[in-house]
Amino acid sequence: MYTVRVIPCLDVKDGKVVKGVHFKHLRYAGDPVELAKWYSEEGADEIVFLDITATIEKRKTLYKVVERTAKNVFVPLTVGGGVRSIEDIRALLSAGADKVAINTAAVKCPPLVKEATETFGRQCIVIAIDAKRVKKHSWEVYINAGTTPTGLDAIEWARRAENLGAGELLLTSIDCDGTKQGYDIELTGRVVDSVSVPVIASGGAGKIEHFIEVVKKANAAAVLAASVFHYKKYSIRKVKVALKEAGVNVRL
Amino acid sequence: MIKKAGIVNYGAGNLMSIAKAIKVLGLETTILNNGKESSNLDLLVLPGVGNFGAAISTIKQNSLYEKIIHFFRSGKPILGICLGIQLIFERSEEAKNAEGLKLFKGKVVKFRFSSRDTACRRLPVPHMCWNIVKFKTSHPILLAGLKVEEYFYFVHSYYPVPEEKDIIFATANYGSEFCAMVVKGNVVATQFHLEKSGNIGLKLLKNIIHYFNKL
Repeated sequence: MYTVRVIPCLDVKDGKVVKGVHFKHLRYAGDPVELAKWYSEEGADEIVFLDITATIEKRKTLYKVVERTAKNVFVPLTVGGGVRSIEDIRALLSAGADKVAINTAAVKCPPLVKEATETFGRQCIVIAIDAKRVKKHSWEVYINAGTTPTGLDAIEWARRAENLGAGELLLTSIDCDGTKQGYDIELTGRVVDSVSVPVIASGGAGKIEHFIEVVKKANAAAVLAASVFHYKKYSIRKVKVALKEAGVNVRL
Repeated sequence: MIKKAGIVNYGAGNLMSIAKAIKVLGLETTILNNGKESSNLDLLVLPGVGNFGAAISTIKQNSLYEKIIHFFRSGKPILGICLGIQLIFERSEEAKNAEGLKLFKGKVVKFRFSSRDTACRRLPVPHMCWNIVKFKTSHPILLAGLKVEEYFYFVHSYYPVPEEKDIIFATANYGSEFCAMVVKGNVVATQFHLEKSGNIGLKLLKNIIHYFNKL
């Protein structure tokens, strides 16, 4: 039986969890170590930890935070943000990450993805795609935390990422991020239909119906959200119960 | 009494998670890079990372093959997780020219879904999610405090097909039923990740250690 994963996302800046709107206007939302432990015990199927500072000077601090976070987490932990090399991946894995998400570096240097999946196995490598709608049925990939357009079509890049060996895709809609107006159903559905690896839908969750909608209409393999969980609007369990009542298989 | 576990390093991936889980249960752990190192181990762990062919070739290059076989033949406990359950069989579709550890007869195959079956066609590979594991038999030690069906976390594209069906201790279903856990004598192996399956995973891991202690 296939179960849909419910994943809280910790956007971490300078060691603290923050949350913004459209990737901007960040505000404090908690301590990553405490939040991760809480989510892990509360029934989160997985935890995503994205370092959004990701400057080279701060890498060492990041590894320490990842290590402290991983210590109390016995569900899978994906870590991303500023990953540029095989050494970066190795350092995150030794700090306790189970999977590593690559975004900007994958676009700039696709062979890195191939080398990473061959070195660590494809289950270990997540390609994070930040996409922005540019035309009615077309989305462009943005890099550098959503600030730089690439000219790449999101659907084509998703297919290419799968071919490079990505074990799953973390797809974030920049338009929907932080709006609480729901996931980009069309974008998610198009990507899911174009690849055979699992797709994590991200960006826009504000209501229980949004989670159900993106699974039922777009066939997302996992649903990711940040603020609705951090600010305790809904518990992980509440979202899972609602999904189950809607006929979606989840672990309860 | 098991005090020290050696986690076999195939040269890639994350050994931290399993080491962390074993330590939580009060055991000492060491990473085993070479078969010639450290002989006072009570348990060998074949962890869940990497590719079948690459893992076997690293195992053979670093004298780990002899170490594992010696452990197996002398009746000392071996725990395989994910790739670890696959390595104990004879061969895998993931690396057609590589020979496994051959502790048991059988092969490792890839998930394949018939394109006619629309329900299965939607299933992504790798199988990367929590799934229900059904235990085939009751066992007072291994299944202490566990229900007949429990959720565990899986990440894999291949699964083992043992020739001796009686070693299959648990199954899961992903498109069709497959072997999720084998138990025979001093070998226990799971396709799912004990170390990533929350409290239930830690409980089963604890039971497995207890089972090994009673060997």
